[in-house]
Formats: sequence, C-alpha cells, structure tokens
Amino acid sequence: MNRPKVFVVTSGKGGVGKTTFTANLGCTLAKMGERVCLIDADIGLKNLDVVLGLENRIIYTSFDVVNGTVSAKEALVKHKQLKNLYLLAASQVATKEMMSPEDMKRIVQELYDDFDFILIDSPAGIERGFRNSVAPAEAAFIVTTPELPAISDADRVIGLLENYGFSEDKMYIVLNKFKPHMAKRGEMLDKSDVEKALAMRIIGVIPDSEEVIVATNKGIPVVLEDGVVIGRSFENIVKRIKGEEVPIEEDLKGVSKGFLSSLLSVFKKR
Amino acid sequence: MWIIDIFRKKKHKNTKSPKEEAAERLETMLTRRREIVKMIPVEEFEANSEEIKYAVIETISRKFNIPPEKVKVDYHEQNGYIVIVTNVNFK
Repeated sequence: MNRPKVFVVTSGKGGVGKTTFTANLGCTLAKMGERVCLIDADIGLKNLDVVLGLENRIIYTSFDVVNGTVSAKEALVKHKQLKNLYLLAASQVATKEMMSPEDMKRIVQELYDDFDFILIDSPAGIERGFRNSVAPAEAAFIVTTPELPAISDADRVIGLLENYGFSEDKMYIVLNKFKPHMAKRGEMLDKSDVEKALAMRIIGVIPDSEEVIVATNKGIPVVLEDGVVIGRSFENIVKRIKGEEVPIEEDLKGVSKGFLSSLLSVFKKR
Repeated sequence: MWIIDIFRKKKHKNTKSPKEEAAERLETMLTRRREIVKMIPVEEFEANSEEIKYAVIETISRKFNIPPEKVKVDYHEQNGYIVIVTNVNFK
C-alpha cells in the first residue's frame, strides 16, 4: 500500500502548536531529502510564513491561485536554507469563506506530482477553514497537548475525521508540549493516558522546549538549529510515518535533565 | 475549639494526584461521545423527521432515566446533512 502524501495538521483547539509542528516537520522532511510543500490554510490569521521566516518574501497567496491570477506553482515561495521546501502562503485580507473545499482540492491536485509530501496547516476550530484543509488530505496529524481541553477537542476532531472517511491508520496523534518531569511527579497526564482516552496510538511525543520560542521569534524552525534535542522527536515521527519501528521512548531521550547537567547548563549559558 | 477544627479539616484533604483527577475527568468527558456522532442524510430525515425526533427523545430519556419532556431536540442542515442537537435538563 502506498503511504499517504497529503497530510492535514489539525487539532480542534488553538494554541497547541499546529503551525510550529507543520514548519518543523516540513523542515525535517526536507533535511532528509524529500520534496516538501507546506500550505497555510489559516486564511486571515496566517502564521506559517512567520514561523518559517518567509513573511517578507510572500508575493502571491492561495487566494491569488483561487482567483486565477497565478498558478499554484507560481505562488510558491522557496525556503531560504532548504531548497526542496516550499510554502504556499495564505492571504491575510481574505476570509476562510472565500475558499471552498473544492478550491483546496484543485490547488493540491496541481502540486501533487511535484512533491513527496504536502502538509496543510489547518486553522483551529471545526468550521469552513477546517473543512477546506481536510478536503484534499489523505491522512491527518492531530496535534494535542496533555491538557483536558486539547484532548477533548482532539477527540471531537477524530470523530469528525472518521465521518469524513479517514480510517484509524490514517490518523496520527502527536503529543506536543509534553513535560516529562511533571508527568513523572503525577502532575500531568502522560502518553498512555492520552492514548487510552483517544483510543488511538501516538505517533510522536514532542517535549516542551524554550528553544522553540527563541527559534520562532528568529524565524528559524527549531529543527534547523544546531544541537537541539527536540529535533529527534521530529526525525522519529518521519521514520514512523515511513513505516519504521522506533520506540516512542526515543522521543524523550536526553530531555529529563539530571541535577549535574542542569547545573552545567547554567554555567554554559553564562 | 477553632484550633482543633483547623486540624480536622486537614484530615479531609483530597489525596488524588492532579494526574489521577485529570484522567478521571477526561474519562467522564469522553465516554460515549463518539457513538453519539451520527449523520442522517437529508432525504431520510425529511421522510421520517417526526419519528426520528421521537426516537432520539425516547433513547435519551431511557439512557439517562429521565422523563421525555426533559429532552429537547433541535436540528439544522450542514453540508447536505441534518445535524441533530439534543439538550437534556437533568434538574
């Protein structure tokens, strides 16, 4: 069976890290030599270009493609460092209602043969923007954090995706902003609690990291920075979607700092 | 006496960890949710709307052991489907 090529990144709840996940997964795939296209479907509240540091290079958006001003390929912006990573930006002045699921399908169809992976960054919510993003997708990443509102919304989204015809093996749960030390102390839900609640396997755990905030503010996805622990989680997710068996515990290796390494990192910062 | 009361209150302190409490709440929130999500094609609903509404009321009233008049059923059209929204008054 062929592996899916077009993925929607969704969550239901806002603020769980969909856009950051899309940017970093896209960069990881591109670093591994894949031809990747990222589509920002959050029309009106677009951010993917900002996370990628491409906001000043946007000339055309998906809205121009829908209007027939340019083709989808002409509207693409190439990443500064990764030459096989492209972005189709969203318009800030248009609204989600100005695009239909059929428009999105046409855009993806036009780009389909030129890329190995197409990732669609869905807006929060389950209205038109969500339906536009889901329409052309063959598989879905459902990003959640280990908090009740996020998990509850993820469950709702899974139900909706099932109604749209997504089978269980085409839905990948990503546990983002995970704090291992809190889970260890019994102050936060852990991976197995989330899996049990959603009755679905988790494809990857991404530890909470201050480096993400610093990198996002610089316009450089964190996986492109040197010596970043979080990069391993993204590499493992890529391996898993390609069918490789990588234990989920690998995602958190090197995250929990011991007393000595915490002390050393304080001196390193100085 | 109030000094003794302070110590008494401490004995009743909740011993559940935040994780256990969250897991419990999550289970309550998500139980049965997905089996409720059903979509009925418009044509089917138009032909049997009153019977379907009555069946929904009857099912919920039986499931939660409450009188049928405490269940309100409303519906709206979305993408060619009828979405049934039910409100239950438990008071």
